[in-house]
Amino acid sequence: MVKLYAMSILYKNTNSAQWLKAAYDLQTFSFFQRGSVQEFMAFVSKTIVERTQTAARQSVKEGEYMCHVYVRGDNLAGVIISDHEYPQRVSHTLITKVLDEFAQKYPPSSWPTATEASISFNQINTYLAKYQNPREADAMTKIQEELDETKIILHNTIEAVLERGEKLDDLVAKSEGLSTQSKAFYKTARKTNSCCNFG
Amino acid sequence: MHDDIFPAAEKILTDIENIFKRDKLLKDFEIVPVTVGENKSPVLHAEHTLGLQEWCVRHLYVHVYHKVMNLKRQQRLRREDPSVLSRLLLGGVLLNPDCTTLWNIRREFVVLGRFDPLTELHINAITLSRRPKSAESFVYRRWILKRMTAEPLESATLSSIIEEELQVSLMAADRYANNYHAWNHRMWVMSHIPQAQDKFYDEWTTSEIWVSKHVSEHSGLQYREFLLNQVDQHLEHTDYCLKFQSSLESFLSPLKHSIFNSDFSKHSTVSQRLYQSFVDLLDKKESCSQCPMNCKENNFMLQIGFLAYELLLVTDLIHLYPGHEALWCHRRFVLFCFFSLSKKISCNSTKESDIMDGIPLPKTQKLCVLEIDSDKCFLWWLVMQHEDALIKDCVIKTTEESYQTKLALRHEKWIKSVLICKENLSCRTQSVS
Amino acid sequence: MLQSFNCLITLFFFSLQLRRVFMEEEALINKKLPKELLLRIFSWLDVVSLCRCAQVSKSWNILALDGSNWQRIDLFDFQRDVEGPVIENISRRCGGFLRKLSLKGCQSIADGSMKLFAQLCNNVEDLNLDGCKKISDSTCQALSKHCPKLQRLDLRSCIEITDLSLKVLADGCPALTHINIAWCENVTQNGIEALARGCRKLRSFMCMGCARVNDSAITVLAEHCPNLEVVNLSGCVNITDESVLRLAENCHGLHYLCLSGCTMLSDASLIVLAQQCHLLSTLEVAGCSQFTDAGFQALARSCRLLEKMDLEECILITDTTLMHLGMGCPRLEKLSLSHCELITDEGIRHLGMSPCAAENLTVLELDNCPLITDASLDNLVSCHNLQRIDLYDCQLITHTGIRRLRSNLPNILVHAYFAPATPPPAVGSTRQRVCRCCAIL
Repeated sequence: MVKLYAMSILYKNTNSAQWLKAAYDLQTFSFFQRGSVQEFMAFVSKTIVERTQTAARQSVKEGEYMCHVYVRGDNLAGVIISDHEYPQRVSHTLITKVLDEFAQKYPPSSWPTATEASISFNQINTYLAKYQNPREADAMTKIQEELDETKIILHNTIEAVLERGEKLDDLVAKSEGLSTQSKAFYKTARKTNSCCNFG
Repeated sequence: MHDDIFPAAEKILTDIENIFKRDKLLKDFEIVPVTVGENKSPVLHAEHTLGLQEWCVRHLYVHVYHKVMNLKRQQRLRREDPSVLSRLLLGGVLLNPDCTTLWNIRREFVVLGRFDPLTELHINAITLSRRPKSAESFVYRRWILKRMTAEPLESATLSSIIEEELQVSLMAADRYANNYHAWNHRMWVMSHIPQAQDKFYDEWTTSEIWVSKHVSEHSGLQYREFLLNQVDQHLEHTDYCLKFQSSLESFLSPLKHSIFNSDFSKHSTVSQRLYQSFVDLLDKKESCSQCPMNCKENNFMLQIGFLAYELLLVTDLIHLYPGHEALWCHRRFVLFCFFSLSKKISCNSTKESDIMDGIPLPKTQKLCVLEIDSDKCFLWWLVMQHEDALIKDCVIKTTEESYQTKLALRHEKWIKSVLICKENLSCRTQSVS
Repeated sequence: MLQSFNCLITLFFFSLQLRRVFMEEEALINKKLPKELLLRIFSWLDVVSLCRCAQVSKSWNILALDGSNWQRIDLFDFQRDVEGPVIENISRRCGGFLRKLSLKGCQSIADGSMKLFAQLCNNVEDLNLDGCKKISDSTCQALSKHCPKLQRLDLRSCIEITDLSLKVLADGCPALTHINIAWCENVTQNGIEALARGCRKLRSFMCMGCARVNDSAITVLAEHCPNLEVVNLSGCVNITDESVLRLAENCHGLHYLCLSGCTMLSDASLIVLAQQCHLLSTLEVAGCSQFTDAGFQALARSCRLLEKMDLEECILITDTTLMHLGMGCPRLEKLSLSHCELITDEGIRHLGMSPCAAENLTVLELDNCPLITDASLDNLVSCHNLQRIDLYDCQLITHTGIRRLRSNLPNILVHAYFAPATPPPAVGSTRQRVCRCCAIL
């Protein structure tokens, strides 16, 4: 399915990343799980930004999902989580575009102190909605050529992005951003393949 | 006996049934992964969604299953308190819609007049919201629909039923990748309920949006093929041809760049006339406000419009989403339609061509190649121009070993070996490399 | 008994086959047993077996279909399959023999066949038409005209029935003792008053869900039918204390009374019942939300034979009610306190110490009582007769508390939302499907 689930803008400090803005489209997830899915996507976005070098692009495949990340030279970072059928180059072009627009509106000096609440950048929602259909998104013909020459590093699992010795399970368990409910969801999702049992 | 093992079962079933009674707009059922229960109802309800916590699911199903099967074995189903039975059967089909026995008991009660068909459709839709690929659910659904439509219905009721069916099948297709059953159901509705034919053009639009978002799904594309096969029954809507104007123009664009060299005396009259109207169409670009194609007189024009639209759509999708075989397969179908249309046009007689759209050839004929003289048919020549361009494009743009290249070359091979044309394809792989 | 006769029949068929005896006169059972005895045997068989026997031979056909075997017929198992002609045939066969007929759930039955039935089976005493939605007043007119012996009539969910039916029944069936007109929503005051005037022997009157029943109807009923013992006015929302007052004054034999959903009732009703109806053993007042401790205190003091009480959603009652019930009603057997949100452990402690607890209390429903804790369960350990306790949604109750109760009362059935300790057994015979993702992983 061609689908964008989440798009976030973060600022990468030396040790960690902080949120500047995020948008989600989780209609395709079942109602009672949406909250947890959103928490989990936020968690993954942050984790991956923290493990991406400055001025680098990465694309990570995890099951049916793709996570695209771009950290600019000035440490402004963008993440898109999409379905694996969503064209990769469109995702990266979109990140570039959104980050440029964001940087125009908010000067780099404001990033280290900004919070999600202090920023109003509704364009991110508009873009998420508009780019659900890459055929209709504007200037599609140009997209193919426009992308800068930064090479995209591809990974086949999230684990591959993590540093040596790190385990996703441990990160989930330690995370403060995930509620106990979401952690339980994560555990059950790992343990049982939910479509195969009655659950 | 089994009541003792999980006494809460009946209460949980009642909780579920109460939500069904309270919320007529209920649309979803899901299992919520909560594995440790408290002394709190595991039945959740919010925003027209019914949730059931996972810890009770197995126990509940075992309870329902044994109870229903015992009643059935003792032939006591009809004697059982209807309220008990209805909640057992409701819980049963929700938890395991693949259990045919449960649906059969429901059938029996529908026949007895104890279950209302409309409620049945609602319950069935909810079972599909969790198990969108349950064949038994769809079979039951069709059984109910057949019963309902066997009697004359008010047109308002009927159209709301059709609307609902299209909704349900779309929901099921959205929720389960490659959900053949969902599209099969849609086809069934379109072909078994006569009034559903009015929806043809809506369906054409809806399914385009859907296939553009699900580029690796044969089933959705197959539904589009189903629609393409019915095009000739829907040609009376002449106003629709305006929508094909731009796609027809792009389709004809090769006529502008290259010249179709042929001795027209060999062409059929139909073919000649068509060619002329194509050329007219291209020349008279400024007078496009009114339908220039004169569709009533020339149904071929509209059929070509449909096919051209589809061909260009597939070209678009193949470029945007490289490496999806489903799109190439669909393209072959479109080519096949073009092919038989070309045959019809190029032969002078009005006799139907023996090549039928979409119907598989008999076994003995399968290995035979189909021939057409592209010298004599400008339509086929046009199509081949598009194929050339696409294959060339795919081969140039991607690397030798990429999947997209492989698919493109395979496509070329297919055209050459199955749809033989005398004029060779101008694009050769060697010429590229 | 029935079982053994069925065996006998089976055996007979068996021997029939073995010996290849086709001439029915030669069959041993027919030779050895006189017709009277055979008839007697047949009289024990159920409908299905009788019909099977009727297909054996000519003589058995006559015997099996003899009216004397068909005094009591229950066709509930066949429901929709029972069409008018079936009833007409039965009526012709049975005639005056038929005493009791149940057509519960036979929805296809209409007035025509019932009229013929009334003409032919005029000795009928007990007729159940529960759920025969098609029948209307003309059935009752025929019954009134031909069946004066009718004692019990169940017209539950016969939605076409109107006051006219009750009027004609009053004229023609003075022997009526039991009548059920639940969910016959057309019935009004006029019909009930007429019925009461004509059928003075009424002992049981049920009219659940007849929302048009009012105080004056019940007043006339109470005044004319002093023998009433069983009355169900559940869901008759227009009823006030006046009705209960009249019933209590006139019908001292009342032992079953259901007033659930009669939301206008107040403590005055309970007080007058306490004064007049000492035989009351079952009282259902679910949803009578105006009742308070004062009313139940009065009741508990004088109605000492109370066995079953449904107090669901009597939201004002507190532990005081439980204290009085505990002291006053030693026979209390089944008590429902669902949604009585003010009840606490203290109230349950009183109940657990009362005389009824040790001897009689078998069912206790405490679901949705949010203040109840494990301490309540500890106070119930001496209720050795307790078979079932409902604790749904009592969120302060823990698994440990329930386990402790179970160790004291090993046979108790605890209704709570906890999953059973044992994992569920596998369920067989549903067709297994290969799940795509299972195959891939």
